Amino acid sequence: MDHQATHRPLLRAAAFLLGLTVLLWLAGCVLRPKDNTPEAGMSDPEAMGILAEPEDSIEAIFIGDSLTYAGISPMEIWRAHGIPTYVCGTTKQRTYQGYAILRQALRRQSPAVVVLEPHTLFQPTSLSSALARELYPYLPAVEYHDRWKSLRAEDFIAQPEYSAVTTQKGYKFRTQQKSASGEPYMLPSDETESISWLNRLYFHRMAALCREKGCELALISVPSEQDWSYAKHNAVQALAEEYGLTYVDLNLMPEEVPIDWKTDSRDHGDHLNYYGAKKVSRWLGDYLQERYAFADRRADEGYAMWNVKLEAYEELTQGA
Amino acid sequence: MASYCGAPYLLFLGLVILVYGLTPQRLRWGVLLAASYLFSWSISGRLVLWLLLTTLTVYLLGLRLSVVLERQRAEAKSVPRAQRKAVKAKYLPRLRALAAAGILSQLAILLTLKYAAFFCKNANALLALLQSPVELPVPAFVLPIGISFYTLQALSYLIDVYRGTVQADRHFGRLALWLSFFPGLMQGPISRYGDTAAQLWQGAGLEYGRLTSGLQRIGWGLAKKIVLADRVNLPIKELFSNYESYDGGMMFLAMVLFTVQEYMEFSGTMDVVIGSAEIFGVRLPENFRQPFAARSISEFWTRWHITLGAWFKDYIFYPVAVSGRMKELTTRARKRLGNHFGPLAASAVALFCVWLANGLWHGDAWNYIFFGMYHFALILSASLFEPLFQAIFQRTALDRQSAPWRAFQAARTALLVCVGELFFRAHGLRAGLAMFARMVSGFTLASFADGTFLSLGMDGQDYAVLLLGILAVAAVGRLHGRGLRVREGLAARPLAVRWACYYLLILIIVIFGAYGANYEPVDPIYAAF
Amino acid sequence: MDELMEILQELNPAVDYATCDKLIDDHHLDSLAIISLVAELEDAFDVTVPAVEIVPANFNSAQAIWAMVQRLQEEG
Repeated sequence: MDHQATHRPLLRAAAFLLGLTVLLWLAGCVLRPKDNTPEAGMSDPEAMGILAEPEDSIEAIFIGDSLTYAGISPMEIWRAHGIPTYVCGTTKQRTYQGYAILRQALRRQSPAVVVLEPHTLFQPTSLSSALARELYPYLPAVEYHDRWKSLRAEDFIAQPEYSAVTTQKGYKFRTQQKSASGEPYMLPSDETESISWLNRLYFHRMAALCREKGCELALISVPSEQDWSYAKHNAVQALAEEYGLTYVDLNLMPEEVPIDWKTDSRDHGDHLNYYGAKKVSRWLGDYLQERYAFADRRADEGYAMWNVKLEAYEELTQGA
Repeated sequence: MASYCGAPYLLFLGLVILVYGLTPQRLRWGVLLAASYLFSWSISGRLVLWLLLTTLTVYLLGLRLSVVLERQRAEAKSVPRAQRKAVKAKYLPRLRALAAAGILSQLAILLTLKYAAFFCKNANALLALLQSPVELPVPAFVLPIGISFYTLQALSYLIDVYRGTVQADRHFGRLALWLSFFPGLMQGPISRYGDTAAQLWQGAGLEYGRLTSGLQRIGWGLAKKIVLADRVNLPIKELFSNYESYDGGMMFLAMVLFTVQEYMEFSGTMDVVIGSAEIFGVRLPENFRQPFAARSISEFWTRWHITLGAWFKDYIFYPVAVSGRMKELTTRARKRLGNHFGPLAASAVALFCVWLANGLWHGDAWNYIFFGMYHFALILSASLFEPLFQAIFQRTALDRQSAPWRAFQAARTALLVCVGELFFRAHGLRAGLAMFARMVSGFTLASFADGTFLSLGMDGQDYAVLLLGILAVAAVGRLHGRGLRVREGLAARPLAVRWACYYLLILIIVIFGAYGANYEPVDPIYAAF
Repeated sequence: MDELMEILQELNPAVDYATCDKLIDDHHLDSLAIISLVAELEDAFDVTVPAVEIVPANFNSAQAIWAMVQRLQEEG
């Protein structure tokens, strides 16, 4: 057979794919949000607010699902200790999502510690979503395809510039009180919940990423009567030992973090409300302070914006 | 891999194409067979054994039938013509017993797995009504994927062997491949052994023209599914679940949107399926031919889910309509009632069987049976009133072939189809009736005027995309109706034009596709059947 | 053949059966007509037309119908 004839279709296919990639990349340049605000089309603008923080300014990043943004308030930690932290938690965050957000955050930030809330390790996974997630950074046209609805002329020329500094630093302030049963839910047992291979894989990648960036990875469980169990605790404990990481389960520490399930949950023991978050954040601030001896930045000029936002935060939470 | 319109299937297809292309021709059928069972296993798990069992049953019975048929033929040849009938009669019971064994065993599997729960639930309701203390346990079977489709194929194979229209297959692998071929496994088209098995077996090499043509068809199908069918899913879900909260105008919207979704999802998937098969050099039968150009319900069913209609026609309608008793009935009735009404009785009985089977085949719920009976009633009444229409047209000298009348007929047919789809999608027959009553008695445009229809998960821009998409699909359908082949026409254009079209289609799917956080994709509607 | 023509004429007099070879494809014979026709053929020619023979190829023209009848007679 003619040597050239067999290769021509392959060459042509390669050229076609190259052209397609260029086109998709161009479409992505137009479609991707040009700011980290919801108006600009940014998804998860609260978590992505970290993109607007000054370079190398954050000391601790929290990764995880809704338990993080309901239970950890960085402004409480700032108010008490002057430690700048950020919650990059998103609703039902999958590990591959958390990994992607962390990678993006660590490009500009070099925190001393990354805290993973391990409930995300028990979220259901799908291989195709994980693959799609891997593609998103290269093909913003896919992630932000629906932005065709709100395109403006400047979208065709502007470069992204993340300007919106958030008040709550990824926390979502809620004060609803819906009491939980209050029944003990952490009964010691030897059972172990399984962690899917995909979640293990992305946990492994997070650990590797943190090692590469020179920050510690720690696991801290935010209390949740509905979401947590001793079997999950055992699974995470084993994982932490395997990787030689610290694991603190606040579900098992009612002395240190005295959650009152009658008043501190906003949805019958699934998520904490503001009152619960205050207790968790108080403990977290002390813990970070003690363990890492971070400098107090409250008087630091570079952090003036944090004090401005603290005022806004106090206005938001006053009366609660 | 539960959908043909998702990344996992497309990746799987790419992998199969690669392996297929690297395998020598005489082993390629094995690649397709292995891929098909892998595909089925990935969705059904161990239940794939049911498929194997069906294949084994019809394989052995087919061989047995062919042996008896061969003997019959030999004996018929050796006797004078006058005695041939006697020879046939001698063998008939054995042939019938074999065919019946096959048909009944397949139906038994299908009925047990699919309808046992439905039967028990209804029996319990009846028992409760009679205040009986007995209660049947409701079994919870899980269905192997594609059972409704491959069972029909298996039955058609057995009947064709029995009828002598195809030779029983001596090669188990060929029969197994035809019954399980992965592109058609989940949602059809229902192919016939005589049309498809040999093509699958030959292991045609990959060819550049076929590959691109198949990929184009897959792209077109993906666009129908992802841009259009998925886009309308949120309002449909909302309107069908909470119909009590909306007015008659919204019921009408729900009905039309679902019909659009059903068409785009099913025909789009068929494009992906047939395009996939084309890459392997296999021509699967078409399942859609511009259904909304149909001028009557009976014509509609020759254009929508064509292979299912053809199956019912060949294996239920005519066998019933020309069976001995029905023939007597026809002959007697014709003498009294004339040409039109004479055969109507036999036809009505046969039609009833077809539509009962159609309703039942679609699922184990009363609204599917209602759906079947609805179409039965429409088709039968069209036949009943035909002489009346003829008389009216003759008296008034109106032209039955005039364009306005044809357009009216098409619109009327589409509306009747939409009403049927309303019952098809509704959560149970009661909900379907309630929605229909609400639509007819409470019809108002209020929810369109106050913007309620824009609050159901589709905004104005979504509706604009939907309308443009429907127009594009209709335009392509019209071209096909005129005998023009878009892909062939495209192949004759210069490279730049072709590539521009491909790029455009891909960008449309990527940008205007209804995927991601703001949408919810529709589950493959026909995969459940 | 003449007898067949008579039967067909009676079913639908508006068609020219000598030349038309798309009786099914052009909808000159619908399913009702087929059912009648099969019953008539069986009476007139002493054959049994099984459902398997009811395919467009066998009914598209008078010639094809006649060929089918003869074949069925032959087979007995």
